[in-house]
Amino acid sequence: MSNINSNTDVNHSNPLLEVRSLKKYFKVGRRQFLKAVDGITFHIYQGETFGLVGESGCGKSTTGRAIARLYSLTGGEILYDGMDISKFKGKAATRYAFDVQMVFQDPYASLDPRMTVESIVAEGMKIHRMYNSEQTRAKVYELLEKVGLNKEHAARFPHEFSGGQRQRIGIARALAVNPKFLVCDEPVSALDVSIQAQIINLLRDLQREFNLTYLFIAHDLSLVKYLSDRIGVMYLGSLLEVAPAEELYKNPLHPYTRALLSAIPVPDPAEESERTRILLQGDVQSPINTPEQCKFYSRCKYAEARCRERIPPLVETTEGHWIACALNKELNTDAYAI
Amino acid sequence: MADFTPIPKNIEESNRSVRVFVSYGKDAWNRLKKNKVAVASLVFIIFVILFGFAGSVFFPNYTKQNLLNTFAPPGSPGAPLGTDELGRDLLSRLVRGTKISISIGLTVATINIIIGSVYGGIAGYFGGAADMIMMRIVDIVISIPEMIILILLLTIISKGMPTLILALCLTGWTGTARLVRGQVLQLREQEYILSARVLGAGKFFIILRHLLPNAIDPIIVRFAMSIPGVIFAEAFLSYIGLGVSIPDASWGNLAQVGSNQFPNYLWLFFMPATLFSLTMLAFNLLGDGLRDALDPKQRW
Ligand SMILES: Nc1ncnc2c1ncn2[C@@H]1O[C@H](COP(=O)(O)OP(=O)(O)OP(=O)(O)O)[C@@H](O)[C@H]1O
Ligand code: SF4
Ligand SMILES: [Mg+2]
Repeated sequence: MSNINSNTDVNHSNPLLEVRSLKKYFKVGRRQFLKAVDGITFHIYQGETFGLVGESGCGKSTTGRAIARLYSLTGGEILYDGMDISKFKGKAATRYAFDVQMVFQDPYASLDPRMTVESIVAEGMKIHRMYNSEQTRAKVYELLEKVGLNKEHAARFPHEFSGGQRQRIGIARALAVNPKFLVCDEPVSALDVSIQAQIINLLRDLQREFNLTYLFIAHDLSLVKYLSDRIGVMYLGSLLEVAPAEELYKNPLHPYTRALLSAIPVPDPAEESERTRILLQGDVQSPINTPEQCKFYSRCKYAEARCRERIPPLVETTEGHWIACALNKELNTDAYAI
Repeated sequence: MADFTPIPKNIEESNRSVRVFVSYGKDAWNRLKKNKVAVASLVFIIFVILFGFAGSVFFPNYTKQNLLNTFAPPGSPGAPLGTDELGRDLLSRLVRGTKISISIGLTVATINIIIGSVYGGIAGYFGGAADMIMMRIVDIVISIPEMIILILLLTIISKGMPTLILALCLTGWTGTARLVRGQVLQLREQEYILSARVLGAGKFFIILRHLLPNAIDPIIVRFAMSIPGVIFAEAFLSYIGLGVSIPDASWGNLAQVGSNQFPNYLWLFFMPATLFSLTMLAFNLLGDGLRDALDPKQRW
């Protein structure tokens, strides 16, 4: 399967969003901090889709929400168009809200059950008093059509819709303020597989039409591959590998990514029977007060002393391919071949 | 061969979706209407309120004594429900008592709901240290026995309505505060609230447009359920002479006057006691009905 998203509009000289050493700890006890995100660095170019994958609880939503300015940061910074988003106040904050919007994971919790579809989609326009009520209504109808619903749906309540339709409503709500950047937090993981494809296609069409930049969060690597230009792999609050989608599949370097990819079945039965699976040993560590060492240490088959010296930083091993592993370039050598 | 009748022409018409779009509130109201007991209770409560408020226009002489006509039985001329030991017309006094008891019940329940909602809403929405301190205060207020505060205040300050209302409000809001705090804590993490924040909504917008409408159901139920408790406390305090005092009337002191004559002149006791009990029952049944009608799981 090739990448459908070979987007020619990606501007590689200009990162729209830069995340630098982002940390978000939640205080969960007297001296206990849950390190949901522990120093991750990546950037997203204008016009591209950046896929963020990882197991449940590894900090993907926290990252997305930090970008949407829902959290105050424990450390690091997030730059949008070169400006620190935590410093935005008043007008600048409003402009950021126009530019950066979010599509949520749970189609049942992300729409207010007390509001009609019309007022849900119109919410952003109302908050910022963008149009008069007639124009707002017209815009709502237009947006509903854009996401594959119609204006008869406007007067209904969320509980009358299926999960896929609800997700479309959520997308229309986000698009209403004409954003440039969408944080899609697992927008399809709660949906049936057949519906997933529809929503993915919708997101891809909208991206082309409005020249959107996506941060696409998922826990399923195969899904992200289909949609993303570049992919970041997270584990327990750390970003372990970042590479272009094709490259990540053809040449995964980080031991965790290799294990993840080996778990995805391939369609060809002959190839499938040849394939070696890397089984992960050990358990996922608790995210509470994790030590300053490689987060994958407890499960890595290559683990050695230097892995415990610090959290390995993300470094570029080959052009555009970054990994956070103490072994770094050695992973590319025969000794560590799969 | 069986006879087939042709489909009528207006098949389109008859096949059209009959789905009507109803708002949330209307939907709940429709469900409440189907509940016979709740509707009967509501009708009875409206009747009692009219009895107290409209009745006071027609029977204003609740203090007028007539020592020549004491303990007149019900049905006496000029005193359809009889008179008490000072010859006061029981119907007039019952009207007055109803007005006072219902007023206190509604006033106190309203004040408690408002204070409790605002207090609990602030604690839940802002969370953190403010929440911690505010909820410890609630714990302390709850741990003091209510009757002790009530009796203390009513003996220290003064008897009468204002003190009674103050005393009942001082302790009554805590339950609502806990309830609303829990609601808000749970609601504020909902993704639709996060979505509103990402869209740039301010705190007031979120509270008015999202939190309030979604938290209101249990608050309404609690309001209806708290009224009988207040009326009971008022009646009890008036009965033991700490609340509304004679010559003014409330269900509590009317029952007390009646019980003094027990077992003679039974109507003096049973009239106010029956009205009081039935009203309590009606509020509780209405509260149950509301809870069922507003239950989101009942929504189709
Ligand atoms: N408000 C919070 N308070 C405390 N801990 C939190 C909070 N929000 C998230 N966490 C914890 O932070 C960690 C990362 O959570 P996050 O929601 O970012 O994971 P995720 O990668 O999105 O997982 P999923 O695939 O399940 O959505 C989890 O262990 C979670 O329990
Ligand atoms: S740093 Fe060490 S433990 Fe971590 S992934 Fe690399 S080899 Fe494994
Ligand atoms: Mg998540």
